[in-house]
Amino acid sequence: MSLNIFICGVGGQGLVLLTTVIGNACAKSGANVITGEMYGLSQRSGAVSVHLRIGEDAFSPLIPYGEADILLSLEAIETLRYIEYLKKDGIVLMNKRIMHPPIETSKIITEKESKYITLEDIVAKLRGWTQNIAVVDALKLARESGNVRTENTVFLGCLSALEAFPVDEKAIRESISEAVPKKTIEQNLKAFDLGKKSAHGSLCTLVPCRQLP
Amino acid sequence: MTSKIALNKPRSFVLLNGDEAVARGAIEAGIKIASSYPGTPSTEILEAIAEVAKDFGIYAEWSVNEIVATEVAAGASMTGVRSIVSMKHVGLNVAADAAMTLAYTGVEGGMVIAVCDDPAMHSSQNEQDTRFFSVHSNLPLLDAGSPQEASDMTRDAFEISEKLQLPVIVRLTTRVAHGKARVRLSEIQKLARKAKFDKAGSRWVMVPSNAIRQHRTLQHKLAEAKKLVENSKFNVIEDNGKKVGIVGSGVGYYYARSILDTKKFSWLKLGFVYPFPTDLVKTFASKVKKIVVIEELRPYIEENMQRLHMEFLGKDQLGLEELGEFTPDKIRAAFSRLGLCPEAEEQEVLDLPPRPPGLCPGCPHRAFYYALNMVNQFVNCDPEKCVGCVICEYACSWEKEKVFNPVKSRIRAIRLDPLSNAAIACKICKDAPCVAACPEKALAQSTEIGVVTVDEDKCNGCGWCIEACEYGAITLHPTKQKVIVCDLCNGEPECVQFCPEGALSLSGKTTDKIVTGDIGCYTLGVLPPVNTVQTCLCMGAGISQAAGMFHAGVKDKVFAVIGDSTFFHAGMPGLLNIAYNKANVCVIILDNHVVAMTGHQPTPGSGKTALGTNAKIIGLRDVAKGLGIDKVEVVDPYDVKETTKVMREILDYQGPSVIISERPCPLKIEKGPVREVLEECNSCGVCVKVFGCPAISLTAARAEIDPNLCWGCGVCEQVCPFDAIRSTG
Repeated sequence: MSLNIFICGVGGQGLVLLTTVIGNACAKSGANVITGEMYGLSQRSGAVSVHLRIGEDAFSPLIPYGEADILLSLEAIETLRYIEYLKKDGIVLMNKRIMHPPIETSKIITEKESKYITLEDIVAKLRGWTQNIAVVDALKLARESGNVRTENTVFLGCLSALEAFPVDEKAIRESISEAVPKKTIEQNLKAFDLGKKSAHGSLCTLVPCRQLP
Repeated sequence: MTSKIALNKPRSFVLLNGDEAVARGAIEAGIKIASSYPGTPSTEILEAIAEVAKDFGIYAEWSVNEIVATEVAAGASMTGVRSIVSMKHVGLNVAADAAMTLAYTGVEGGMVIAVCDDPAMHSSQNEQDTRFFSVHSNLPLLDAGSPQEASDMTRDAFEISEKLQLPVIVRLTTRVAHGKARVRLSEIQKLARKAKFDKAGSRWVMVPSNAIRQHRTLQHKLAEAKKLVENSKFNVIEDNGKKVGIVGSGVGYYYARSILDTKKFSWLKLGFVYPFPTDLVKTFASKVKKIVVIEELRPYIEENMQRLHMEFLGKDQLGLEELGEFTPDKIRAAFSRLGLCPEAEEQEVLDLPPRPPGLCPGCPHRAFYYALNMVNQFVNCDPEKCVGCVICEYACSWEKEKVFNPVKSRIRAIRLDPLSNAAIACKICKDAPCVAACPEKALAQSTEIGVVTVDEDKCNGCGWCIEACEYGAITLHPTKQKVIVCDLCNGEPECVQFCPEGALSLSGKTTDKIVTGDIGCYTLGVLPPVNTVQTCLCMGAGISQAAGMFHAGVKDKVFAVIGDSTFFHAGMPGLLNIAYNKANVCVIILDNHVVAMTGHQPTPGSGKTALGTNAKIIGLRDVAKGLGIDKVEVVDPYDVKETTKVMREILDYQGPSVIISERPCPLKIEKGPVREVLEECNSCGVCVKVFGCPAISLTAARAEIDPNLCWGCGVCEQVCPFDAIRSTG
């Protein structure tokens, strides 16, 4: 059986880079991987999504509805946009960060009764689908790593803690070092470690994880 | 690290996307020349080749457009070396003139035209199906459904091309081009070919006598190609001895395999699809009772089967459309309609704020559009917010007359109906009727900002102008008996500052200008709240559409916005045409020194080539002057006031003109000092609702700038009517 991960977020958060790092790490670990990526018109601020499938029987790039094992979301609102891809009781690994689309803000200005969607609203809706919800404050961890743009790598750290994620940590570290700009390698590796550590406080209470060394 | 696509380890696996796989296939085939113009989703083909070009002695270039790229590749092929040209589907339309006749001349060295279609138009203006271009041009076509196929087909296409002496098209779709998968590498061929041109070859000269002969030759070549498709390794039957057989091409074939139990069906995968493998399809039909056809976009396989009077279940029976892209879920629904697989569950639709792609924070295009929208500003009132408190009237009379007397105000609050109010001030009409109506010539309109001025010595209070104003924006001063009208307080109206409800704002008028658009990031200027761009057809069309509107006699001034790369690509003939045919069109070149939307490829104005070497910088001002435009101005879009001033002047300029709005794409440069919101903010929302920066949102108390998203352009500071935004730097 293949492991299906659906990744979503907002243009500019580094989803394509994250996918490249995971893909190359899989290739290094000898795992078959196939991806379907949607980018081009969403350099910044548009919705971006990636289908990532790992395993010998993965041979078509898109995950059908209800077949993603993990929904990894770098922005909280986007989690709901793609929820139908997640298996019932699948794992949601979601950023705490909300980036309000300008359309939402315009509506707030014109309609007095309308309100911004909150993290609580999002989690409440997600609970109708799954109880396995891990919320990560990736921006805070990225800031700790010394580079606020490493949110994507924080999530890679979280993923790596999962028992179901069949990729060597060494291969991931190598892939990170090869894919990110040279002067940010240290920060990215730190972000990776912080992400992995944070998983053991939240994600790993929900689903089986690897032991911390 | 050496690039993956340069790896000389045959039979090993690397992870490549479809574009990189095409690049690898071309390198394995020993190409000498690669050319392209960037276009999603094909861009990475040339990028991948250019990255390793030096190692393999390959010359790679970003040409200025697709037909130029095709001719470069064709010229190289005519000397016997192998060449590849890559483009998106609509690029092939631009290259069509060359491609159609290349089918007659044929080629010498192998030549591949790699074309990426974009079903669902993720990043395109149409979703044409390139398989039909093959029908039109008679060029053989291979249809890749995975990165492995993209690599293998490209490599083999060079052999096919040389065997037939024809250019061969390799077609990808977005899901293949932008999806990664393991690709098994093959040997990298080293061809020691010297470029040599056969000067006596009459087949290169398409005068009618030669072309008639070459058209016949093309028919012979197609007969040869027919034999190749029947035996191609890309057309494969998997006979499982079942009643239902599935025929498909492209990625849709793999979706079908992923959702069905493959052993319960027989399969025919078509990869080499033009010319159509008639005999193979007939053979497959003889092995099964029923055939189902799965193909994205147009019914190419279906039409061929219809021509052969074969029976099949196609789009009509499956309920699949000719538009949009396939997904595993659409295929599942289609097969469940035929009872061949279980139905999928209904999906619940959630009410979420949409997040369409938009201009980035710090984008100079947004700043320019804001300035353009602000040309012919007037005090605008939002009736949804206005409560009729008349504080604007007090503010105005105090500012102008130093008394709190609403009768002496230039703005007037009125009751629209028992429940809503609005405030009315001068609308700054173009060719203002009040000015025309004045018998004493006391009224004049400023050519700069359009405000109406009153010469008190001449005005005799006759009131003709008051009658002429359809908005009721002019009144008579109660004591002086001279007319009074809003003068915008030098661009910072007091009424706007004091409106407690934030109902008043200084807004621009779109009613007296037409803005045609073009293809690029700046097309996103069509979206709210920018709402500037009113057309988008194809590369370069905006300038000539504008010219057409002018010659047709529209009363508004016509502006055509176009990016620097698009201008070099297809805008230059249009500009020459308006200079020659004297169209009163203002062409605005949004110059960010790069092809931004496809991922920052260099342009002729950038001083760099695809190979990273230095190039002559082609200056846009020189080009515009050279094409016959006398009026050329350069503005900095981050300077809103100055840009607006120049645009106002141009509004009244008669004749062809060019404005170059110059600022590098912010993603190319270091972030500036981020901005922050001060306590003075009253949540009026102009920075979001009118300017539309995605870094700004509105918390309960005031606007908030996300420091992680802010790029530090500082334009919001100029936009804020209350000086409530400042730099943290």
